[in-house]
Amino acid sequence: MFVYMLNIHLILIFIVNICQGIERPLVIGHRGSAYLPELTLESQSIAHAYQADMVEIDVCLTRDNQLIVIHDLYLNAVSNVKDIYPNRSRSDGYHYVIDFDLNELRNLTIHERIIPFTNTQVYPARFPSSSSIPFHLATLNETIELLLGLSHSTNQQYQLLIEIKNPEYHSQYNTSISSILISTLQAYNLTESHHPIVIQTFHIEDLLYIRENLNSRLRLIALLTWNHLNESSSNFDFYRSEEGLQKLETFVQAIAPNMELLVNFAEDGSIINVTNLTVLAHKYNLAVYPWTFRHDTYKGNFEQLIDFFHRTVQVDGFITSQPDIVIELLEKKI
Amino acid sequence: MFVFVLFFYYLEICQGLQRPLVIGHRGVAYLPELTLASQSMAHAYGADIIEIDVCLSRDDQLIIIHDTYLDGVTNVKDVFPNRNRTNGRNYVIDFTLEELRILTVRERVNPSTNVQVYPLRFPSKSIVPFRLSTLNETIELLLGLNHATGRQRQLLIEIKQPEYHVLYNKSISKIVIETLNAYNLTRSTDPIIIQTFNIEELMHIRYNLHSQLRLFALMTVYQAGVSVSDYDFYRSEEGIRNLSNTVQALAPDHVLVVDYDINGEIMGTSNLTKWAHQYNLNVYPYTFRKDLFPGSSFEKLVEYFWHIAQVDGFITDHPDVILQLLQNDTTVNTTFSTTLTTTFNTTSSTTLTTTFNTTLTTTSSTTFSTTSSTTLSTTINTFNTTLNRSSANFLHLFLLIITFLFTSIKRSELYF
Repeated sequence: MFVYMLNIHLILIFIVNICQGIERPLVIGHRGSAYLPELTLESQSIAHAYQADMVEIDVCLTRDNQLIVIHDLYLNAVSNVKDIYPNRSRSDGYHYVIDFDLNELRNLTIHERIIPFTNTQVYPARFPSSSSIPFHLATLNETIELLLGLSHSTNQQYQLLIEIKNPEYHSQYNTSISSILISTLQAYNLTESHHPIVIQTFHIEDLLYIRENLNSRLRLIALLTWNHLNESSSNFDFYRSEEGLQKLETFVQAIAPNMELLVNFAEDGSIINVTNLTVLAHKYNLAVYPWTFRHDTYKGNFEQLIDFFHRTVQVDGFITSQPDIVIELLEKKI
Repeated sequence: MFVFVLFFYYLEICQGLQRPLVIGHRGVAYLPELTLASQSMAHAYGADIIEIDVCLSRDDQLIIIHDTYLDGVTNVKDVFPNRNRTNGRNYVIDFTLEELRILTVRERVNPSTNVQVYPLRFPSKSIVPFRLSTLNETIELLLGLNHATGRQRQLLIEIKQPEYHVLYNKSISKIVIETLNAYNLTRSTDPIIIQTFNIEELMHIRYNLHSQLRLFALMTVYQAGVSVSDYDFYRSEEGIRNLSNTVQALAPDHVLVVDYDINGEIMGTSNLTKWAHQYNLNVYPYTFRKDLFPGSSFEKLVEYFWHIAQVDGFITDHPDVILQLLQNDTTVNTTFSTTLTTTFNTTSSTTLTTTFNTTLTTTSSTTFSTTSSTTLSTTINTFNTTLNRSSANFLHLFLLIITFLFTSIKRSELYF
């Protein structure tokens, strides 16, 4: 009897230890991570060290058609452009990335996000925006080389989720940012669905263009939000419907919806109920990766939030600024 | 079952507090050494301490770099082709900070051959533009990351070659202390430690500059006419006793801690750790590099230094690897001893509870708790003989008492 009980216990512990390694939903580090100024090479490195499966970055174009890793179309929230190029703003007071060449942008220093034209940090608990550390803007090439170099040195493959910011805005300047992106990736031989690159954007028609006109085999994700926010001209009401998802299935692998499209939240941050979007998406073989899970700003109980999306909504991954926290919560549950 | 989980959990905590410290050497191995990105990764991996090196520029700025020359890790030859000395190398002290900021930093190469020193690491030919940083930036990175992550890591600052800087009329230690003062980093409780190979410089920092910061004495193999301090003396019992008045720990080359034979096999431990502990000094040997040890030999090396040599921490290029080894080893030992103990006791408890009615069950469960607590304490004491820290015993005793009280109260929730 004693030996029998002992064996049961040992097996249980063994199983628990193994379960730690069993598949959990993907964890995607939003703009790298929350702990360093967004999208810097340092922020990406730290996301990798925290074992994020994917690092999400945003790209925009410069005046000389270089892909810069930055979230906004303007520079004023994250850089000292106002001090370096005081006369290069537009009439709205903002300095736009597309008005500068790459070598000019290299003169800027990057800091933690502030509300433009104030000294107020958007996320007060994060890295101090007043720090004198000269972070820099990265190009897509540098970001790719960081990814490949780290994969080589750590022997671990993490992936890059590249969001193309506002393709239609870039078209106004007679450039196809999607084409430039695909060419840059091709130069690094990153073309297939099993390569560690995934592309997403709010302009669904650009994803169709990438798939059918540029003939890319890379994995694609459709970002989804509400029409009235004017992120793009795409009709998200349609793409969220069953018919729309059925169409998406023909050229993308997943959807990345605002998390409020998957559940209905109350004022205090607690969850009321689940929508049918995840079920429908899964019906059409689309993975679901909601955004953005921010531990430092979520009003309710973050652990319950993650647990709900994991077990009830059954999403396939989390886009989060704190990948380390989400990974820890997910692995605890197993 | 519940009791089992509880004991397991408490033992995990005990071991977590007791494991050796892990010090990320120049940040981590995975990115070019000493860059802000490398330091950030060390922080994220959970290294307790991040080790960096400082040298002075021509305009007295503290630059984070290991060598006194630039050719191992930067593109200085391409940017400033005519600034080298007669030996072909470009020295940090010949450049201003503004000039140094133009350079890009890459993974270490042999300056004569341009061959990458550690082939498995980040590609030295990569175009990613890493940069040299200053001590101010490194301090701000540490404090900013500690603030943003809520995790408190520390900085171990190695002052490179004070005696070399003196030749240029510069007191590098004084500049380091002044920089730290400006950030209010002055006390032994602040997350800053200073180390250097120049033992007399440590005395100078402690007694002339009156610093209260923690100091570590770096030690290497003594070479007459070459070594700046007499390490043979300082690693003798008398020397260690002498050092114990001034420093908090020794950071010796690992070959001073254990004896290796010609084939690199460990024959035994030296007296260094024993004497250091006798005089209340911690021991943190350098440098544990996984890519130099094939197969499972790195794991065996770490285990030897941990359990047999009984060092207090590891200076390593691979903090994530060592942390994992320290945590896995803990879990395995804890699991096994806990399982044996609690299985035996749980079995007897089950028999008891099924035989007696509710009132009597309560009595028997109290007995059960006491029995398992005693047995558990025996197990822990056996385990502790390898730990060599008396504080561990107090902690275990304290937690045992808590566990005993807790399990008694929680009887109604016991299920199996």
